[in-house]
Amino acid sequence: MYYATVAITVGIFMMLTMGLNIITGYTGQVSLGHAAFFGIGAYTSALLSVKAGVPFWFALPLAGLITAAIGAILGAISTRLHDDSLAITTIGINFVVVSVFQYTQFFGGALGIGGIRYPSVFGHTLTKPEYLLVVVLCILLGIWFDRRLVRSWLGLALRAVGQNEEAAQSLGVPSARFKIAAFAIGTAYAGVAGSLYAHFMTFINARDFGFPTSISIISMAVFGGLGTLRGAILGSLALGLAPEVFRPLVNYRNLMYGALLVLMMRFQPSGLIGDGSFIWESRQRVTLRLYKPKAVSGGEK
Amino acid sequence: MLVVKDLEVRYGDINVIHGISFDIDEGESVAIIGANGAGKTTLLRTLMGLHLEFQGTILLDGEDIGRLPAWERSGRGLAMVPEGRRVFPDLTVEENLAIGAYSRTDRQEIEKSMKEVYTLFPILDQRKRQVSKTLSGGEQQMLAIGRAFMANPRLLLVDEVSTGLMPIFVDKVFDALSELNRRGVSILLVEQNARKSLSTMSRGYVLETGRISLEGSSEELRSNPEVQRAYLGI
Repeated sequence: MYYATVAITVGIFMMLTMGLNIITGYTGQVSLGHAAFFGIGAYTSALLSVKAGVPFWFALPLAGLITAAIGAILGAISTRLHDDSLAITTIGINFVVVSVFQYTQFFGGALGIGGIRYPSVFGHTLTKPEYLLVVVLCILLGIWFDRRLVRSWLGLALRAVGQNEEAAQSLGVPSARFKIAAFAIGTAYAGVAGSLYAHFMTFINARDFGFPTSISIISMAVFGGLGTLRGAILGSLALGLAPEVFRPLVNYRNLMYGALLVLMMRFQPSGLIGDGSFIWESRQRVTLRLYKPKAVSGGEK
Repeated sequence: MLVVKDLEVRYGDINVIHGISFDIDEGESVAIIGANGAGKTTLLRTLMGLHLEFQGTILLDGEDIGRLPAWERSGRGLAMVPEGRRVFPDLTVEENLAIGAYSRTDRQEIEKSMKEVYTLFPILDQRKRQVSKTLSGGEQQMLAIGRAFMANPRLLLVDEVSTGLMPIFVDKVFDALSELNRRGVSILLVEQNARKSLSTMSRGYVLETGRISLEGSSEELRSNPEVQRAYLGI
């Protein structure tokens, strides 16, 4: 059971990191408030379940959609902001959202929301390993969507905007629309993650979705390699498991994430396996040598 | 085609361009030469719609486009080759060209344009699956020009193509610009390299600290003693 609990938690953070990677990695919009959308998804799903009696299987996609809608609105605001001011605004959004949950009676106030039902199928309440399967299915769906996105026109435009917004604009790309799309898609991932979290914990509190959680998510994305799906997956896996594997670290988790963030920025800004990172470049060199002995001179630097 | 009247451009409190007027006819190739800090890049950014803090009028085909955002100006036939060859570094050569054709829908015509770019710059064809940050400076400049060409522009705004390039690439890039001009694309080039631009473009303006100090055909400018002293080093 313990392993299932750890795996589910790691899986939820993997969803969150994949979503942030679409906003910050592909589209270049720094968001330091991703946990706010995690919270919006969790509260949406919890309220649907507790107050309206909506079953988990409907609450899950609804949480994704509603979070995406709110994400799109905040994305629209963000199109007027750049770099530093966007980063600061997203921090602000995180605190505002947490406060709204904490001080509004409707959202359960300081006590949070309890009694959220664990999902069941035909009267059978899922066991933890079965719930893990649901999480894994959501991740696989997320990975599949991400791969489709990257290969699509939309993905190409998102990446162009992320790499050079002005150049994209002067080629006719209405960058504001694509930033909004990126926020909507990325926060949809967070909304689904929130729903998975709420129904797994069966009790949620505004504190779970605070700024430190946002920092954990961005640490995972940066550690693995911002802008790549494999980086998001590896980063959330590594940083999610580390406190479990090195048990004494648990209390110093934020310290560890912070220190890693500083070290990565200094020595490996492309992350552990991002494009341009030491490991990824070495791997490519090795593959080139193994499979295409003559192609090494083809401009690989 | 493009008429600029009494253009004044500010960056915050600083006046960068102090009321200039000039025009470009359909099919023309015009150079604006000037030293570093004369306001050349600011001028192009304003024309493209990337900088909106200005006074005066910018007319394209008689229509005021001064308030349109950059992406709408692109739809009306403007395209820009930005300074410092700003390609999309993590996209492949092919993807860079594809995004250039963003506002076009005619699939076959886009394919044709891509073939034309590859004929103009065969090296890009060889490198088409390569991520563009791995290209050399000259190759990136070619890609930046190719990418702008993919937008099927009627007027191409070109910012400092020669900076930081080896002389052989400078020649190649200017040859490509003349070729595009022969195919009917009007060109407005801002450059520090006066010698090369006045031998490639047909007409020119001299921009000095935000004002146009001289104008004329390229031959006139080349034989002007002031231009010779200040820009051609004769």
